[in-house]
Amino acid sequence: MSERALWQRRLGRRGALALGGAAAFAAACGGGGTGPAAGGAGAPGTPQARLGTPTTKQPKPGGSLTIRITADPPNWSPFTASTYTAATANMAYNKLLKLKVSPEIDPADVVLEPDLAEKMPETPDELTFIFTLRPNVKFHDVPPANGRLMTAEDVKAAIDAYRSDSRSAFRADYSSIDSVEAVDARTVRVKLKEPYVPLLGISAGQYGWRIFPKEMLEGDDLKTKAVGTGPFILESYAPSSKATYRRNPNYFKSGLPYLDSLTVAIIPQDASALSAFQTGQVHVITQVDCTNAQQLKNQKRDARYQQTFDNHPGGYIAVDTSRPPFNDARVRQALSMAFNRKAESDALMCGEGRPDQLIPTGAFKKALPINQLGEAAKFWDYNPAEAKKLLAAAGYPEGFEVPLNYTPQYGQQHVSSAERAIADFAVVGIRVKPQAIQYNEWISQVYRPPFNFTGILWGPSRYYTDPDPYVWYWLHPDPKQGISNQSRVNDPALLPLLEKQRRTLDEAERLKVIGEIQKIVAAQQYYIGRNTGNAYAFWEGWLEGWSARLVYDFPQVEQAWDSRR
Amino acid sequence: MSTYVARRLLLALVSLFGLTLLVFVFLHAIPGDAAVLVLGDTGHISQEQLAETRRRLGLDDPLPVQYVRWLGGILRGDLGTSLFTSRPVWHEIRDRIKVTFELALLALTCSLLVGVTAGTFAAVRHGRAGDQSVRVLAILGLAVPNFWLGTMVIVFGARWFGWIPPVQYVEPWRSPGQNLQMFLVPALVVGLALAASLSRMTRSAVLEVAREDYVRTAHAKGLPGRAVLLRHTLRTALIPIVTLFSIQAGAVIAGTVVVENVFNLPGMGRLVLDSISRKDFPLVQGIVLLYGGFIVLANLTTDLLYGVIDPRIRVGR
Amino acid sequence: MATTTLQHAAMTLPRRSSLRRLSRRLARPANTFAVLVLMLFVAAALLAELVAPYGSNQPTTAYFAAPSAAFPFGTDNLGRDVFSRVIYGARASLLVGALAVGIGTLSGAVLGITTGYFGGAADFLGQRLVDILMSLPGILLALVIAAGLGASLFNVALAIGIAILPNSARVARGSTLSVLGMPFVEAARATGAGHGRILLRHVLPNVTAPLLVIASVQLGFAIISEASLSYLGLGIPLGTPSWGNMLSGSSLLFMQRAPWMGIAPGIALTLVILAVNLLGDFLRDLLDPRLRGRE
Repeated sequence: MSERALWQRRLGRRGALALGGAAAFAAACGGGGTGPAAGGAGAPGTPQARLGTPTTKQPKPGGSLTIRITADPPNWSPFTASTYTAATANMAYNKLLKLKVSPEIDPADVVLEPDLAEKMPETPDELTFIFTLRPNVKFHDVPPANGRLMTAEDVKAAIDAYRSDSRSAFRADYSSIDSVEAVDARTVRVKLKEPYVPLLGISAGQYGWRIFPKEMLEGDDLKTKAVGTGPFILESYAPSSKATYRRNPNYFKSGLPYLDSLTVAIIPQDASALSAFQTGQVHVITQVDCTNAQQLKNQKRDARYQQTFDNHPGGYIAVDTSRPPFNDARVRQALSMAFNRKAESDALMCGEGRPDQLIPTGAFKKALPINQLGEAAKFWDYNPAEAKKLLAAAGYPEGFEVPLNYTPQYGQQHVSSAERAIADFAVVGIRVKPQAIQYNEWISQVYRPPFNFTGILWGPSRYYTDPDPYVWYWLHPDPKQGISNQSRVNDPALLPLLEKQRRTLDEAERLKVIGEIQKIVAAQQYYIGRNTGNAYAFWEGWLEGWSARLVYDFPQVEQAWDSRR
Repeated sequence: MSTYVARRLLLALVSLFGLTLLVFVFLHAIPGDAAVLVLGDTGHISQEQLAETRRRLGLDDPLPVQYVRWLGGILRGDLGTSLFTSRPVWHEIRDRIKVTFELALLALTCSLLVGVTAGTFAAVRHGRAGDQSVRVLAILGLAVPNFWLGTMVIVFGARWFGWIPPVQYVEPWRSPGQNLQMFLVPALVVGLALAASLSRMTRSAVLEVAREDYVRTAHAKGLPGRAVLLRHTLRTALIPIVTLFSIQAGAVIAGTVVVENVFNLPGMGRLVLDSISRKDFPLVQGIVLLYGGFIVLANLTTDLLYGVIDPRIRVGR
Repeated sequence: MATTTLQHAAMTLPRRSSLRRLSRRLARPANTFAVLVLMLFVAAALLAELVAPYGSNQPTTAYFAAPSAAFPFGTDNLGRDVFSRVIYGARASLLVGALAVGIGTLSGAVLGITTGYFGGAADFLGQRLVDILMSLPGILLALVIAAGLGASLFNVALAIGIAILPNSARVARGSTLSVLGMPFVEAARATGAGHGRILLRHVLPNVTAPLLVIASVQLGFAIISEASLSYLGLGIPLGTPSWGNMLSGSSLLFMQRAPWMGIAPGIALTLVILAVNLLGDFLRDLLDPRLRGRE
């Protein structure tokens, strides 16, 4: 249950590695079990993949697909910020703009393309977006919409709901929107109060502007039904078991989707899910750790896979800076230098982890890399001797005892990463006392305000493609804004920079501002970056039109097809 | 006797009431906020919105008010609505109870067949090799952790045989073959553990009865061994066996969390875990009421049987 | 797991003359095996620091190493020696088991004896409490204790102990009631013996035997419960190995890559519970007067 939200940036052009469909990269992970990965990891930034040879066949309709997810959606409402809801409900919806999926696009990079909108929005000024909707888009032929046409009124109602309905978990994300207007049946105008760069990205992400019939806003139907314009129509939902969908015959992209039916299988146990993939009961499985990925690669040689970065067991360390010992920057720096990132990468990530910052450079490649952070770069070195010196200077020559707060519900790899670190910290005298916190308490009181913890917090990986959430929520001193500010950062130098990066439309300028923020955080070590973890997505060799994404929903389904037909 | 039953029934109801009250208190003693999970754990939700949500769900009212409101609903036959899915609690339960029920039924059947047979066999072969081997097997059955065994089956099944039980549940009427395939291994895993203790109970019960004077008389009278066994021994021995069985029945319904998790069965076990973790209190209360009712009923049956067997226990109480 | 109250009601502690029978029965292979296994594991638990080649949480760089001379049971995903962790795990698992059974049996005994002896309102309330505790979902109990008191070895034992309490209480109550029905108790009361005297001289000795038997059965249950709770994420926090968290954690995730991670603690667990149950059988055979004199 890691925190993942897809926030996109407007990229001027595709900014990603071109992988090429024909390459089959050597996979070497974990070897014979006596040490770190031996070779074959490719250049930093190149995910490992086996994408199969490009096919000359043409897509044929028919077939069914089973995708695995790990837990039930708490409900089906597009207002609920649950990755499992996104994974299941989004099959039935379209957004105005969507995430483009193709093997040539790195799983971490995002490219926006029009979905329900006919073309990218016009921007007569920096505060206005005008969307022209496609003509003749119909809702699913099920109640209450019964196949009627989608209009700008539906779009307006949806966007207004996302930004102001009491049920919407996304209100904070759209606080910069001033008004939404249905200019005519096919045109929607969105006006902002102030420039807000991440806007379009969020609107196209897994928690984006999914358009539903406006009459469904009354009552609770949205929680139990998923009626939209999307490629698949929800047929049935058996709680804790599966959700089944059938093809939408009136989908506005003619010819799509190719698949006749879809099943989302809910399988909490990873061991069971892996076995299910091996025996062909499940066709798509994501978030496979690198060790099991190695097993799968060898056992199912016709299966395709792609490595994704910024996953469990990567993450960060937050510390309570409001009181000793972590109110002293030297202690935080010592903690960072006592932490052996390479050992963690070898032990948990098959040697392919990358040292991380608050903004994971594994995901956001345009952020300043660690070696450009100046003096502060040395804090990422593994240097227990230097750490001890810093601790002594700060008044802790014998070290100290401190709680380490974690939750078991982020999964076994996450727990292992914390367990491994205990030995690292003990070397410099920091004696850690693990505190297990159940998820409910964690997510409502420890990870969020009022941040009920002291000492160390073992943070999970989370993925946003835009740097704004990483810095805004984790560094903002106002508790109403800094909803993830577990380190209780209150640095006057940061606040103007945070606001400035949100408004700077020019990419190069914005990156400079973000770089300033990165340097301050690095010098102060408000958050200690661990490694960017890696995981694998696997899919059947006969599934074409598929590639991996870091988001939790599956925009690939509309273009996927079965090459055995 | 009927007043005894009626009185015990009344007591059972009191227990049930106490149970729901205790659970309610416990649930609210767990730190954490249901509202956060209702809105979604990965959202960036402001405190105001949380407060609004709590108000909307009635979570802001003082605890006694919430409990009484729930109780009022129960007395009207309304189990309430899940805070998360907004579906009626009864629907949530109904969707899953059929799975747990099927698992329990198959496991208990296996337990009965294997357990009673093995136990009787061991008693008949008392002191000899057959007895010893059954005893050891029985204890082995009790000792192996069921989730470990289950995971090994799934992992090595896939690896060595290319087969694992289906991970997708289908109703028995829709596809009996697939359904049985899915339940076979978990039912065996649960059932064999139950069979183990049932076989031990059967063995000692049969042995006890076999030593009774009237059985020895029957032997002396020249009745063939099997007739003695069936007509006298087994019937009397059945009482403690049935007692244990009814206790097991109560326990197995409540104890399937781990097995359901390993074998991906969409049953009550998962629902219990999820609803408690989320503090979905109408759902938790509904489940507890159901389980509690079942177990209280099982206890009632056992106590009644005791009252029948041993009047000393009944006198004066 | 349960046995009839009736059976236990008739048990008493053995007299001196049956000590010879005791040693003869102990010599039987099953019982010898059980005692040896338990002694082995208890010794391992107590002497872990001396016996284990590595520390309890000592990562090395030999990840997923297969069993070898250097690592008899192989290593896990963090390169830790599984053999050492199984030895240290014995400590946690046995401690949880013993604590849980101690707490559960003692408090159950107190509850059962009190309600059985005094009857009336106390019995009524006590019986309701037992009913309630039996119907309480164990997970809720474990969650509340973990959340309210913090997750720790002791609190896990506490949660399991409370789950065990009802059975002990029922056994204790049943025994008490059947003792109270005996003629010598009536006689004692008639001669003016006080509550304390009756409890100490008559009730307690007769209750001890069946409680011992059920305690032995529940020890197995307690140890497995610790494993199940760890599986569900409610067990002993990280940093301390226990067979439960060894079985439920990475060993399950990496079962294909390194089966020895899960097999070693699984076998250890099975052996201990086997031994505990065999001893329970032995105790029951020993303490049941009806079986005495027939072997």
